[in-house]
Amino acid sequence: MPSPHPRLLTLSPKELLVLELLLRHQELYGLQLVAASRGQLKRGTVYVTLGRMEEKGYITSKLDAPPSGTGGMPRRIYTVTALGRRMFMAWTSGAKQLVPEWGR
Amino acid sequence: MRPPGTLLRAVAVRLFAANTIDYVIDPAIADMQAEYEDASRRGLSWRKRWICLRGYLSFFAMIVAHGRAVRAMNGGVTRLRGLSLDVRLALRLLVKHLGLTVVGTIAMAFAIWSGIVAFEFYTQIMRPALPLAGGDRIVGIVMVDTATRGERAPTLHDFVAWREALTSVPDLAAYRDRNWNLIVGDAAPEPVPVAEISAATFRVLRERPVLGRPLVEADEKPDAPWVVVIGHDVWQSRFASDPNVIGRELRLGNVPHTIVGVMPEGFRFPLAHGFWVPLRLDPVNYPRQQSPVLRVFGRLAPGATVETAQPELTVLGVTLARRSLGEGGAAAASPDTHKQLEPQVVPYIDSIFGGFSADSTSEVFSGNLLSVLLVFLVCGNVALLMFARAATRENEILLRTALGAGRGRIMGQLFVEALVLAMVAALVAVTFAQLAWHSLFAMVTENMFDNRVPFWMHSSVSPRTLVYAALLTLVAAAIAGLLPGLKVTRGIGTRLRQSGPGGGGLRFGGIWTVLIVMQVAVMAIVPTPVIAIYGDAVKGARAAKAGLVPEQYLAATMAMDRGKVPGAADATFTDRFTAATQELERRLEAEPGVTGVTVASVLPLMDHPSRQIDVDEGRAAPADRTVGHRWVSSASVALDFFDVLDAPILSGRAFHSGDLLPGARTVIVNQSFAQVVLGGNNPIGRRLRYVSLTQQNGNDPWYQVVGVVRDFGIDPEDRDPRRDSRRARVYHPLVPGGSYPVRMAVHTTGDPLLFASRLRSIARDVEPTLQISEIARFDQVAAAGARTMTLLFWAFLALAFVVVLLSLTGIYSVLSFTASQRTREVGIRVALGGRPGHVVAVLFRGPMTQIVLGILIGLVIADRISEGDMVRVIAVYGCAVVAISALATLGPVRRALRIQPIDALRAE
Repeated sequence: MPSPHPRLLTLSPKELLVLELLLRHQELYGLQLVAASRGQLKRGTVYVTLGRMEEKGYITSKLDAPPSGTGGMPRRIYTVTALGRRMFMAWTSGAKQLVPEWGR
Repeated sequence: MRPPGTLLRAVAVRLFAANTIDYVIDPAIADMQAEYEDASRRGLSWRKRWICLRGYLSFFAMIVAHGRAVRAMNGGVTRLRGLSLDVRLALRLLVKHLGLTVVGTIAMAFAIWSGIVAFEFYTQIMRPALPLAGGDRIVGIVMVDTATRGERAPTLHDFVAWREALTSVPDLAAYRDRNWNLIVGDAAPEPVPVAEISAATFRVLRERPVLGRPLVEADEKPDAPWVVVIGHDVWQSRFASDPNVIGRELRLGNVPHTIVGVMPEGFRFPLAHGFWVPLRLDPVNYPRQQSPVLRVFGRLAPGATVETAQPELTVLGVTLARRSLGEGGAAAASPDTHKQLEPQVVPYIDSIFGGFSADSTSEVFSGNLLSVLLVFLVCGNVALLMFARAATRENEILLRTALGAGRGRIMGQLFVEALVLAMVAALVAVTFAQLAWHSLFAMVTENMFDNRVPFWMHSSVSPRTLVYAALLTLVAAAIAGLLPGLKVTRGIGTRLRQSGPGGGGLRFGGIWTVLIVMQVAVMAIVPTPVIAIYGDAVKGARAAKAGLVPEQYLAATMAMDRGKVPGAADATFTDRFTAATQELERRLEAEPGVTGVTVASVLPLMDHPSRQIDVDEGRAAPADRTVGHRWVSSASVALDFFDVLDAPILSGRAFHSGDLLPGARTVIVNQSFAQVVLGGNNPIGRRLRYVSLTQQNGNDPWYQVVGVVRDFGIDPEDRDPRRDSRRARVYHPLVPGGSYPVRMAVHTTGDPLLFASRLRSIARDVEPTLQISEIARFDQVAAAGARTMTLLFWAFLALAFVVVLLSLTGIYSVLSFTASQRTREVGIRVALGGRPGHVVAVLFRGPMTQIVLGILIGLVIADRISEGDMVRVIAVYGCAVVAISALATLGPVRRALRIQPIDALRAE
């Protein structure tokens, strides 16, 4: 989702979780993120979060080929961008410095 | 079939911008579809439904989340392109007033749900459309007794005479229903419904086989080879869709038939048949008195209708009656009876059911009407809640009016709010209606069609019903939205000029007051039938356990092919049947793991026939004066019946072979009989006789009681006099061949169901034409009987829940509304030193009077309609209703007492 306006780069806890999961698994579908988050991400909100993160440039997505024979729609699979990776690293290293317990 | 979420996407495209569709909606739907496909592949039908339901619910959560996200990104400006202001407002209100959304959704969903189920019942069972080419032109012809209005099936002679003379129904065909054992290869025999049917059927119905040929007139000749046309399902399941099935053989009973055709998928005419054999009946071979009974149907001639065909048939009927009188046939033997018979053309479905009288049709129609009334009633209640909500938004409405919004614009907004709520409710209603229809469908096919699915019925809710549901949704939205709209906007100009900043010009009117009293009354009444039905269900479950170990017994019904087919034994049918059942019993008893086998006309836990009796002159319990005679249930049982069921004879003796002699006339009664009929006196030696309802001539034979057996299969704690006839039982000795069909009970040491296949196999060895059906464990027999009661219980419980929920929220909203409208008055009273208790009393005197009045009215009615032993229950429930109502007042009371005088006065 290309952003029409430049925005302040912020990272909410949910976005951080999405980045962490995507960095761990390389690429995931929306529902796989919900399953991997063990209840921290919800079906009703995960796609809005993903859309917002794509708009911010943290992640990127591509469409799969449409499933054959079922008439279903192609699935969208998500991966982390370089910006998303840097954002994640910056946040986690910053957090380790601010909250020493997190770095142990 | 469209993949799930297609409709949802179509809605979303109207609501959201393309970017949102591509990056938010489409990924969600694609993931849901993938999950659904995975469940499909694994055959998990329940999981599929759950995925859809969860997907739809998530969609609403997504709308809210998306709205918040966009608002956050755009500094409070929402960019829901294409979404009208009213719909956006309505969606936000759904989330903001979550309580009203939940209550309103549940209530409206229940009303729409009941409408869907009632409509589906009407359109699938009472007035279905036949899925045949020109199905509405297919008619049946029945004989109607003009004196009793009862229907009788026509005979072969009637059919032949009509076929030759009737011009309004030129294509006429007939069939008779058979039940024969099917044997394909080495498979175990299985009873299947077979239609012996005229070759003309395929012309009348305009249906052609997909393979081979239909039956033709030449197949009806007596010396023609035996042929059969099979159904698509049979072709797939029994012959693995073999393209070379034509010419293969199968056995129906003990006669091999050659397959000549395969009918298309879904063709199961005349009811739920998969086998069609030629009807080979020549009237020359039958005297008129013994003419076989048939079902006759045909296609109306072009331009003819049921009404125009009837006069011709009536004239023909009179002519034929006269001719038969002249011939000295059956009519001459009983001319009065024959004179009363009149042939009638009826829609095909009516000729099948026969029992659906005008009364029962009107009952179902009334049921539909009732469900529509329920929509009105429930939506009236929801309207009350919507009105209370609209009253809290009076300032907003006044402001919009001041800015130029007309009355229509305000009402339109309230209608859209109600429509969005009603659509959510409709979604829930359709989902649950699908589940309910599944249960109802299973119950109907089990009770009315012996677990066979008629060709016009389907287990899913039809598209026509969905259109009806959409109409109900519109009606619901109109009531819940427009009524408050009318009330809120009435005199809005005056209020705009007169009101201060606090608004407060709105008042509840007389109609709402009556509505509140009524719904509180209904809340008090509604548990009465629920408790009664629950009581019946509990009694049924208790009866299943009483005096029996139902898990150890296998029940089965035995019948035999009655068809007069070549190769049949020369012995009479009854003799053959008796010999077969006795041999089967003997073979079963020799099986390891079987400890006993017995037969009876009816088994414990099944419905026993009830009959009226007279007892001899000795002492008896006082008879019911309104009836004059006592009712008992009866059964004919084999000599070893009580031994096998482990029911000891408490006094007197058991049956022995002497009781089977003609003129022996002995019976055994149960303990309840002695208690209910004889007032606890000793029944041994007493005599009883059955009383005919129509002829009380006193010539019925007397039966002597020779023994008393322990009660079993009867609820020991049931003391309800209305069920005396079920408890008091009379057992007759079963003469071999004295019951057809006959029920068998097999006592096994392990799980009886594991023995079912062995039972079928032994039966096949004994006699291939012996039909074993309704195999079930005793406890399953009881469960089948309780299913209707369970469904009824849940429906009433849901109704009770909705009524109570609506009443409580109604009370809550009225009190909240009262408190908010009298803010200034409360402030002044507190400022002048009014005590809190007094202020609350003044504030809520009116609403509480309505509640108490409603409860009193409801409890009085509940007391009238309930049985004696429910008075205590009603009293307890009455207290509970008062307590719950008081709880509903807590919030508004607290809110009223928190009002500070300075705040109240500042509002001015």
